[in-house]
Amino acid sequence: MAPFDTTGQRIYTRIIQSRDDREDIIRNSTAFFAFTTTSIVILLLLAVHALSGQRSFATADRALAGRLKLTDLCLFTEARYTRHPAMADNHAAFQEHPAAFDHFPSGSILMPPKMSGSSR
Amino acid sequence: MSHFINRQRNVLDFAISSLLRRRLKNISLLLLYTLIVALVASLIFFVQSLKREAALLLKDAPDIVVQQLMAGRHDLIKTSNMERIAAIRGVTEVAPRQWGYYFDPVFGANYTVMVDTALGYDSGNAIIGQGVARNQRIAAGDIFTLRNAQNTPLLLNVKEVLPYESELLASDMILMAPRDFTLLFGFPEDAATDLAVTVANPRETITIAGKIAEMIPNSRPILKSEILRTYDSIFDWRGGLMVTILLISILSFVIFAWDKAAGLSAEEKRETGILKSIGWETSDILLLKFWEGSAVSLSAFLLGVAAAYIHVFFFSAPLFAPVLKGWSVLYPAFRLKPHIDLYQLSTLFFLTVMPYTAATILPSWLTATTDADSAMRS
Repeated sequence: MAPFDTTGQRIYTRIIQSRDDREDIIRNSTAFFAFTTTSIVILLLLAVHALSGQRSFATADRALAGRLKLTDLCLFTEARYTRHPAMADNHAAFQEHPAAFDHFPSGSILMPPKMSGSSR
Repeated sequence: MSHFINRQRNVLDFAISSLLRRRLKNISLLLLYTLIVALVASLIFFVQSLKREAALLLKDAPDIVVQQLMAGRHDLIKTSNMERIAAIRGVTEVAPRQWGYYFDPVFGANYTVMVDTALGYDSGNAIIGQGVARNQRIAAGDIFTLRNAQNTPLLLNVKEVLPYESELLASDMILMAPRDFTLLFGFPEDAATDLAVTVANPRETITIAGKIAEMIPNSRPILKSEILRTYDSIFDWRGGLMVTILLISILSFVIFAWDKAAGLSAEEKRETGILKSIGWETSDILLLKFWEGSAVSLSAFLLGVAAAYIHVFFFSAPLFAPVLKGWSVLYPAFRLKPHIDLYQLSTLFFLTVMPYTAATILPSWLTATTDADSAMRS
């Protein structure tokens, strides 16, 4: 009985010790929750950044748009139908003549204007 | 309650150790997953923010722009039409817009030249956009030349450079006085590029546009709603195009993730068998797999969305810039105003986190319901 007891005691003590040691190290779940919480906090901070950016939306450029009565955004400057798509002819992006091939790559990512209503 | 939490935590502990045992495989999966989420989220942020900015900036666009057509193409419109349009009931203001394009052969760039009456009639001064200043390497107080219609140089003094915030609207613009504009292009004094019409009641816009079209033959009234719609469809179109480009990488990821998540390796099957033989129930194994899947996909989602925000709003989306730039020499270096669309973000969450977690659980359920002995032997 004695050797068994000793071995059993030794194994038991080792289990308890290793459990105590393990408790000193951060548990995997704690590390995961810490990581997730940090990421969520970062995302919330980014959301606050987005909201503050909206509030400080420069009114100067809106005023410029209103003063000059601008109709288009300056996205592509290579051709008139990409610079002013809202003002382009009815058959833009095939601008040069109705069946013309497009010259510019941006013509492929610029949708031809919708033919809508009697006004166009 | 505390028993429930303890159980979840213990299973999560085990799930993470199990993921860390196959460290290299899972970290590469996490990186790839994060990259895909970041790309798709960047696209959402980019398109939504551009749409929002277009809607905000063009809020003050003219209610109706009247163009003259000649042989189906945009032509100059006589300013004498202004009085006739102003006489229509409901029209509050008619203003001529004189603008055109100038190709700079030295720098190979196109500028948009526009009359700004605030500069006086005959000033010799110009207000330029950031893009023009960058391209010509000039600043306020400098003098620059443009070649006029008679092929002689027109000297202009830079009175002001438009602020950085106006890049998206006026990066390529040169604003000048009416007399300078006439001299530059030989532009007839009794004509305008188009007429901007302001309407008192927005509901009357269509009726007034119809009256204008009837009054001036060969004219083309463009409504503000059409301008806004044009931009909406441009950005939808562009977003769709980018998704198509990204589709190949998304699909290869889906195949990779499905293979990783759905096809249980022999080692994983043996693990399931051992867990069952030491007393784990099927529900415990499913919970373990749920936590494994959630840990990977949730981390990838959170990291990916944060990376996308930084990519688009702090670094102005350098990955999408080559697609946007096209062939233009002068490209606006705008920084988008940050905007987070919760609806789109939650859609992304359900499209990325849910399928992966489901793909992890389903095959484990099939293995977990079989006998422990046969699971270990397979």
